[in-house]
Amino acid sequence: MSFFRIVSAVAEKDFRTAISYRVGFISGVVASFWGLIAFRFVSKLVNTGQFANNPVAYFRYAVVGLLFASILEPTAIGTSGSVRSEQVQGTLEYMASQPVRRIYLGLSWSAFGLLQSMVVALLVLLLTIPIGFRTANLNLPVVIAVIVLSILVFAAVGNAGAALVIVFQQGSAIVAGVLSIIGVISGTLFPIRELPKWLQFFSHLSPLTYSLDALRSATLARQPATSFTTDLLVLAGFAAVLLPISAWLIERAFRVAQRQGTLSTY
Amino acid sequence: MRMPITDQPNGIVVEGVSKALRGRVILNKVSLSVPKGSIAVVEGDNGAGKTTLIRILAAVVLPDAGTVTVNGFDLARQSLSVRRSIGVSFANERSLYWRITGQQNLEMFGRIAGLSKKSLKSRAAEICDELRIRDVVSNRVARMSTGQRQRLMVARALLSDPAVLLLDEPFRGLDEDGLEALLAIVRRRAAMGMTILIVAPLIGAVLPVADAAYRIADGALTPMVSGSGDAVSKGQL
Repeated sequence: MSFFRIVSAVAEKDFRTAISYRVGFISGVVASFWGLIAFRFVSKLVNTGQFANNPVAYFRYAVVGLLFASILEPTAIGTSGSVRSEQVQGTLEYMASQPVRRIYLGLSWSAFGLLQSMVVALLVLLLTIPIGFRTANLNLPVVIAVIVLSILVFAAVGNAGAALVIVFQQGSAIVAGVLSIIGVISGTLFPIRELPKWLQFFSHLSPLTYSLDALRSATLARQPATSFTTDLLVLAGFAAVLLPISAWLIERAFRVAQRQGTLSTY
Repeated sequence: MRMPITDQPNGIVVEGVSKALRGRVILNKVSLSVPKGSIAVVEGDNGAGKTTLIRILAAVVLPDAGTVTVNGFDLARQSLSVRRSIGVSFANERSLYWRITGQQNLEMFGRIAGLSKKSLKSRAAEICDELRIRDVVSNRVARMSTGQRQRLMVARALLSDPAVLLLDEPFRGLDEDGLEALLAIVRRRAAMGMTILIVAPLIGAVLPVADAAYRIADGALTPMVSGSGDAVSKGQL
C-alpha cells in the first residue's frame, strides 16, 4: 500500500500547487479544445481512403488520436519535467532521502498531471460533441483496458526520461523528441498505411500504434470484442518488459547521482 | 513509520569514509562515532565537508571508501532502512515546497513517511508547538521568514520520530526565541534516546547541549580540544 500512499501524497501536493496558479486548468481546456476546432475545418479537406465522402470521420479520428496523446503526454514527458522541476526547486535531494523506493517516486511525479489531463480530455471530448464527435459503438471495458495499459507503458518511458534528467540534468527534450516521432509514426493524426513502407515497419514497433488501433476500434468502429485481443496483448507485453527496465534505470540513475554528489545540482 | 531503535550502542558509526567531488577531496578517511541518545556537533568552515558528511549519512551521497552504519543499518546494503531511521534537515531551505503551506508540507512528508492522517495532525501540532511555529505553519512557505522555514525543516525532520536526527546548519536565520526552542527540542529528543548530529560553521550556540564536538578541516575530522559548555564539562572532547 505504500505505493498508493506515496503517489496520493505527491499528487495532492501537486494539486495544491496547481490550484495556487488559478488559470492553469481552464486555459488547458480552452487550448486543447481550440486545437481540435482547427481539425474540424481541416477534416473538410480530407476526402480520401476511409474518410472519403465522410469529412466528419476524419475529425473523429483526429479527436481520438489527439486527446489520447494528450492523456499520455504528462505520463511520458511530464515525469522528466517534474524531476527537472524538483531539481531546480531544490527538493529532489530531500525527496531522495525519504524512506521510499525510488521507482515509486518516479511514478508519483506524473500522477497529478495524468489525472488532470484525463479530466481535461473528458471535458474537451464533451465539448466536441456539438461540433461533430460521435462514438459508433463504445466498448468501455476495452477503452479502460487500453488506457490503463498505455499509461503503464508510457510511465516506463517517462521514468526512463526521468533517469536521464537525474544523471544529466537534461532529458525532457530528448523524451519529447522521441515522443513526437512516435506520434507521427503511430497514427495519431493519420492512418499508418499512408506512411512509406519502411516507416510502417517502425510503426509496428511503437506501442502507441496498438493503443490507437484498439482505441479507435473500441470507439469509432463496430468491432467484435475478440478483435482487440492482439492489441491488448502486445500492450501488456510492452508494459511487462518496459516497466522493470525503467525501474532499474531510475534506481541506477539515483545511484550514479549519489556517487557524483549531483542530486542537488541543476 | 518509525524504524525501531536497534540494540546497537551507537546511533551513527562512520569508519574511514572518504569522498572526492569533481576531483577535490572533501572527506579524507573520516571516522566518527555518535552513541545512541547523544548529541554530537561538527564545526567547520564553508566548504570543509560538513554538508557532504550529512549528505552521506542521509543516503543522498555515496562515499568512495569506508563504511557507514546508521541505527545499526549498513548504508551500502540497507539504504532504505537507513532512510527509515533518519530525519534530516538540509541547510537548503529550497528543500521545502514554497507554493504550499508549511502544514501541507508537513502533511505530505508525514504521509510519505507512513504516518496516518490522524497521528500526523497531532504530531505536527505537537512539534510545531515545541518549535513555536504553530501560528505561522498555515502560511505558504514562500511567505515565511528564513528562521521560520528553518524551524519548519526541523519539524519535518522530526515528524516520523526518527532514531537519528541530522541537522545541517539549523541555526541559520534563527532569532533568540527560535534558537532557544531548537536547543530545547534537541535536548528533549536526545533524552528520549534520539541520536543527534548537528553541523554548522559556528557551534558556540549548541555547545551547551552537546555531548561531543568535532572540527572538520581539509577533509579531516578531529575532536575539538577547546570549547565550552557541557561537551567540555562532560570530558568527552
